[in-house]
Amino acid sequence: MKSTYLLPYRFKKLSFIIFITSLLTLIISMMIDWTPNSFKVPVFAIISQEILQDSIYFEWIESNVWYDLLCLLIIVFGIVFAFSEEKIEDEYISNLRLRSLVKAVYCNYAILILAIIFIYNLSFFTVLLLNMLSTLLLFILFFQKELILVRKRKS
Amino acid sequence: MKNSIKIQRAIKGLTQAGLAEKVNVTRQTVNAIELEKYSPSAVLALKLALVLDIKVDELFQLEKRDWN
Repeated sequence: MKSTYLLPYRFKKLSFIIFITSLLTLIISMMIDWTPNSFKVPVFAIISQEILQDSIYFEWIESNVWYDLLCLLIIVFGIVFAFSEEKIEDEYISNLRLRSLVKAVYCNYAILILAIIFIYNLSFFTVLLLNMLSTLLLFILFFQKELILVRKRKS
Repeated sequence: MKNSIKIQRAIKGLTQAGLAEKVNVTRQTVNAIELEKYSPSAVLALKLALVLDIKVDELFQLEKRDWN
């Protein structure tokens, strides 16, 4: 069966290395609250609003892009890793992929619903930030777990 | 859906990996079908029947739960 919208297998290894490195860097940076100053650069903002200030539209502003870059790397290479073909991509693997994607969407929204009910004020903003990446991360986790279990399964 | 792939494979002297290679899927897929954890598509079912030299409705049999 021909898989649709999947990237070639050759992207898998490189994307995994960049994805994991960026993810670990993001986690460590957040944990120790570290942002390198050299990443403060002029950026074009469609909308920008500082706390207690008016919004700015379509202007160049100065911002530290460290977290933005890490998030972009995680999303782009996470998607490439998650949606590149396996060495042999057949209909069973596609089935596992679909099941994992459905599970990831359910789990992601279950987490978000719990966060809406139990997490308030600025802490909820952190949840929303993490929620940008959680569907992708959950999908990768579930799909890789399925693949490992299937490969371990004895006849 | 029940199937007799394991028996037919033994008759033909094929391993799971050997059969998988002939129908261009992974060994894990053949394993999942044999364990009835996965129902193959019509194309794969026809390919398996062709390689195992048996009619497709003899290789696969519907069960009561398949009608639900």
